[in-house]
Amino acid sequence: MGEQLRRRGGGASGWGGGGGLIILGLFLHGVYIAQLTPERLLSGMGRLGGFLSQAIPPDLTRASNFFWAILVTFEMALVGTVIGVLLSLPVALLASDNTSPNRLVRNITRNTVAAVRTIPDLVWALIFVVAIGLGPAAGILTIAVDNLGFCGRFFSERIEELEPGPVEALSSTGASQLGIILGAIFPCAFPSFVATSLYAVEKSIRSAVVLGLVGAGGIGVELSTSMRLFRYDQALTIIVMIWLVVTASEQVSTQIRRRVI
Amino acid sequence: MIPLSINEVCKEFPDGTRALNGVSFTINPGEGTVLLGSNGSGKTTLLRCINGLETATSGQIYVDHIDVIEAKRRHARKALKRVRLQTGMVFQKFHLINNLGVLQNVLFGSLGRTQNPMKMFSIGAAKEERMRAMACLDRVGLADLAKRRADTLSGGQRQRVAIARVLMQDPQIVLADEPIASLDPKSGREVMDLLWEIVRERNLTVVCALHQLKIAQEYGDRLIGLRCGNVVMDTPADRIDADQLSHLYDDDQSQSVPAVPLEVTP
Repeated sequence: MGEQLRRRGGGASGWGGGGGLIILGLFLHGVYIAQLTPERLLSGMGRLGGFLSQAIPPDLTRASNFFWAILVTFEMALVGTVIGVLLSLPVALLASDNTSPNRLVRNITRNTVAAVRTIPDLVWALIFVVAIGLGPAAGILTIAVDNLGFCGRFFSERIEELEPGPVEALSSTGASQLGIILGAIFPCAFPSFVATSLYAVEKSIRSAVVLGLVGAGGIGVELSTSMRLFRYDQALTIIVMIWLVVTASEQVSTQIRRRVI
Repeated sequence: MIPLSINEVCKEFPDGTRALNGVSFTINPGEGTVLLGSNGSGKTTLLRCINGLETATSGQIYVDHIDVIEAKRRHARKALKRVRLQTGMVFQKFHLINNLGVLQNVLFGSLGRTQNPMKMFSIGAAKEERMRAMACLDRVGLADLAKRRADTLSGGQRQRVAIARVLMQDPQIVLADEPIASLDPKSGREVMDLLWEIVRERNLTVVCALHQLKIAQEYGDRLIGLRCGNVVMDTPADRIDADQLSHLYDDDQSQSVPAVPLEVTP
């Protein structure tokens, strides 16, 4: 018995050793292809100084345009998240052990959600830009799908963690499945759903900023244009505005979270 | 008045523990029965089988001439629902929806009769339903707490709300699973008094699992003793025999029979 264990342990460490060597090799190769030499870093620092000297003072002449673009970005995040969260509710019910009608449905739903989640949002954005064209609509769809993968999983995990007591109490009265979901499952999971949704909004705002870079609407388009035209002073304005909006949204969501939980 | 009869009921859990070993008895309508037994004797499992929260492995349980076990096995929703509408449950841990209001929790007692999702909640419920829920809450003496959140109440108050929920459900049979085990002696007494008053004034059948002998003798018309899933005693409360009682809580129980880790909340 002891011998067996030792042998198995030895095998495991052998595998671990092999895996470790491979990862070390990949790491060294990564450092090699990055050519992250001290000289390059130093010259990079120099150019960063150049960027900053051109960026400061920030150019506010187009600030009102940027403001509208940021508003669009925020709205994209909000609408996309709301759609994603609403879609996540039924999906989470289908994906959870304790609410799914049967194992087949549960497995299919769970695997679909997992597949949706593995594809990065920028890839979804590229697909939706191809499908429905440039602009905020593609961004909204991207954020909705991205949140379906995110909230679908977290909502489902929360539903599975719920105490069986309240659900049983309502079942024992003869309540229908719908009655149990609306009366026990959603109310008990509500604080967690709100917290997850607020986090999803925060995450989506950051993600919506970047989506503009591939043409899916919002401030990202402006940022990418400013950078390409070497208008670093405008770019800095945009970056500062993004920072303000993201910080403000985090503050607001913290306040809401505190009140709900 | 609907009869309740239990015939040769066995329950074996997937892990192999046998909770019930051929339990049989018939409860007369309006009777106040107390199920006695130590932890793991099968009291909770039996009550859960009667309401269909648990599916017994074999035997028959007739509630209103419907076999609950058969209904569960065939997924006969309508039959199961008819049984459940007539069997209200009170749990040891109350099982209220903690972050909803007290009145809303009482209103959920009528969920079995509500199809329209809008009417499940106090905002959308018909006025007479809300009035009824209020009356139930008043009956348990908590009308003034109607708007409080359930989790702000004390244990005794929560169990009263749970009783009000059963009142709202308006069943013929009340199944109470150790309703006072989570309460201090004083509020436990109050809850038992209230439960029995209500059961008597509405002429309901009650099956109440307890492990306190004294309280069982005081409230029950009939005492049924369970030990390791078998009925070892079934007697009117006023003719109780000290020998039988000592047998029920034998110290050698743990030695003669391997531990049956029950009172499961799956």
